[in-house]
Amino acid sequence: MLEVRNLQKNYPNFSVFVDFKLKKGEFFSLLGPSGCGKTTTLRLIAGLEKPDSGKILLSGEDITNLPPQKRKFGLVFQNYALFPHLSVSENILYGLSKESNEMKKERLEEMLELFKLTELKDRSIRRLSGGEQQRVALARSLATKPRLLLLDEPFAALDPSLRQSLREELKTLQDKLDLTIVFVTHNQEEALSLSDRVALMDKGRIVQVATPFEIYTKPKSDYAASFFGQVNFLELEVQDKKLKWGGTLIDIDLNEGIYRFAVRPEHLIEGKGVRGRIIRGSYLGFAVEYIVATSQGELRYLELNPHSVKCSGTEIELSLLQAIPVGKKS
Amino acid sequence: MWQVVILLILVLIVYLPLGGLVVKLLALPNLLDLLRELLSDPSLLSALKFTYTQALISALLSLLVGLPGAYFFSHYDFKGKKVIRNLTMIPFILPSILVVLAMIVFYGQQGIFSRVFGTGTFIYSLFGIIFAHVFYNFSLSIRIVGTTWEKLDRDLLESAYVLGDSPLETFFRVELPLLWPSIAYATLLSFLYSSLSFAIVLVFGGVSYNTLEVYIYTLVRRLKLDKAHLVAFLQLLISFFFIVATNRLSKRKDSVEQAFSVSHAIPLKYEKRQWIKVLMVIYFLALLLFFGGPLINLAVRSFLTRDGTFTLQNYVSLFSPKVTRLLGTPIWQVFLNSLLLSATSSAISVMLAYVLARYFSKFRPFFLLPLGVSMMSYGFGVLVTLKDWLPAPILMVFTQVFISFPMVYSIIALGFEEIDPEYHLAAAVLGSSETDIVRRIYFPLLKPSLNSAFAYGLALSLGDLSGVMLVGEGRFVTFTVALYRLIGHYSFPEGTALGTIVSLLFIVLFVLIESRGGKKHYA
Repeated sequence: MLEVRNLQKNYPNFSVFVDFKLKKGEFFSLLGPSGCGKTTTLRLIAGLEKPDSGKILLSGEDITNLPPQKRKFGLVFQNYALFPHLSVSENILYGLSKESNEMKKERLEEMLELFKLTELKDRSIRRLSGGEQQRVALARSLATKPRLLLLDEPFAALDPSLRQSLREELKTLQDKLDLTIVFVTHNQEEALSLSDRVALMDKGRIVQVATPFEIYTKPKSDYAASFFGQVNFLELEVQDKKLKWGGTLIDIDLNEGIYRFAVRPEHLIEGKGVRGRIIRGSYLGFAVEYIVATSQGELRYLELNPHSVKCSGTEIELSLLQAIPVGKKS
Repeated sequence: MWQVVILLILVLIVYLPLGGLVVKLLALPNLLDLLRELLSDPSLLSALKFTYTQALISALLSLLVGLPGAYFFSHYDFKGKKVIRNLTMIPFILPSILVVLAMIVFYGQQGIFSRVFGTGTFIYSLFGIIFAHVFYNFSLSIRIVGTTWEKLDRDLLESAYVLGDSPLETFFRVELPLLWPSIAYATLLSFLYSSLSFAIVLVFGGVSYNTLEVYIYTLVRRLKLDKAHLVAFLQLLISFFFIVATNRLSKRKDSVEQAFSVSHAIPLKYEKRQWIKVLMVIYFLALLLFFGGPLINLAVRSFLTRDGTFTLQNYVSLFSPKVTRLLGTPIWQVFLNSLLLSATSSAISVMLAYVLARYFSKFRPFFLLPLGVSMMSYGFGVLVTLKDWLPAPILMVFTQVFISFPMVYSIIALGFEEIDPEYHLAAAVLGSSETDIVRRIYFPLLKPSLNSAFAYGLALSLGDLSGVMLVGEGRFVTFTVALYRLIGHYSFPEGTALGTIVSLLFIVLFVLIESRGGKKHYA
């Protein structure tokens, strides 16, 4: 539905170059640390920035040079950008000023009901909580029935406890209205839990596009592997389709050689393999995270469903459940 | 306890004369007759009418002249922006009598502008008065409206674009409603200042135009004291109404600005189109010609003879017996008077403000109240209340404290606001005594504010003409009085010399005020 083709935007010390496609009804996340170019990409799609080269197509129509006014997209900013001089209803109706009164009334009621804002409709924007503001911002951008909804870190300004429930609401909303969404975030958990596909960005480039499951389990680079939580990087040898792990051999579909592997802490488990000694353990509630000194260096190991916390100095042996190859050494 | 004594000193200096003005008025035996007589007096009615009509026109024109500047400064980055912005602020702090002198020398009969453009002189007229007020106040709208405009969240405008509004529609539906309180505030402030104008109207108004300030002054000079008293009271009442309105607008402006998110670490700057650049250059050149011209010309002329050759004679003859006779005081005495009076009063204001801002922060609106009160009303209050009790030099200091205190206070109070109260606690926990905390925490942190406040106090006091003329009764000659007398006697060569010295002094003060963060306080 949306096609972003070799889109490039240059700045004095930075450039953004992106290329991706979106299906109708898809929830697509641009994920990356601040300064990686994800917001610029969103602004290019919205028409708020002019690209230096490349094209944006919407259902086949070239909209690269269309001003933001004509794109009929919805955009929610990180701090919502609600008009402080207008009430809740007036904000929601802002984009419908050229429509008939009947249409306005109908849309307003629809939005107020959808976002449970009916009681707040005459409230001043300044007297709304963060969560309410976010609902008004969404209502305002959806009131015009946009062809594409662009969300720039819409949860960043909210309490963590509120984020969880609003995330679920957004997902429900998307299913209900069959929205196509481009979602910008630096929060990997948000990206994983909401998206159909995630585009991981670094220094103005997309480094990997994949489903949440794929990008977590099959990251293609050190960067992608370490973006989603702690990870151990190890150089291990493969021989005869077997990976050497201490005294054990694990089946693996790789040619002979030494590879660089990413091993997540929860992919280690007590059992036959590499011996080590616990340096330190931190209790996390649902798990205990240990730092273990081994012949492979210091390893992070996550014990799920712990019965107790082991003391420093305890001997331990770890077997390997899964290792993700991220590069070949030789 | 001693803090209360300080508060009482402020009350004595600032509020007692205002209270005295009211109380003594009510004690007048023939008050009702006087009132009846006055209200049917056509000269009062015409002064009233003139005061507020010209103030309204001046305020609207100041806004009109300032708005493009506010737009350019808030939307574009360009070379020398900071310097140009600061230059536009200079007229605002200059003494009005100096502005008068500069205008006469530039736009007057013999002025270079009138000769080059063949306009003849137009300044001794309603137009001249309004022109001078615009000269004075246009920078208020640049600064006040420009600041709001700059803070205005670009996300708001972009939201409107994405929702389908053109930039023009966005201007009317988003920008204007949000700028409105600032525009109204800047305009009302210009209106208030223009309505209290004294020196400009005194010189340019001749016999035909009187503001209430000039009217009161004339009545006092003619010893029609009861009538002057009544008009001073009337003026106090009216200005009180405007002060309340101004404060309200100021609060609304602040609350709008607070509603903008502060998340925009890097403000988005607009790309300059070619025609915008052209307009910008035309605008700033026009400001330079019309407003900068008089000031530059003043300095240049001070070094020229009538024939246009270089000379220092104008400066030398400031010391001549002729000028001494004309001023009634030798010029060195004028310098001494001015500097002594302004330094003393500004220092007193700073000390009062420091203590009051520290211990009576809740009374803030009360302390800022005199900001828009007429000097004539206050001065007359001093005359009827304190004249029999205190010697004239002390009363002079009172008038100057009255002028400088509110601004000095607001700078210092803001300085205090920026100090985290936890510093105090942290220092106390670390074992500092109260005096130790003042010396080691408050003083170093407040030093920039105190310096800026002192410089601003000096500038305000040095620029005052009405207070010195009314309470000093012409015997105490300061820079402004000297300039007024030189203008009155058409001694323009010496006038340009003294004017240039005073301008330089003010530019130095301005740099001090600016460099110490006093720039937030023009409003």
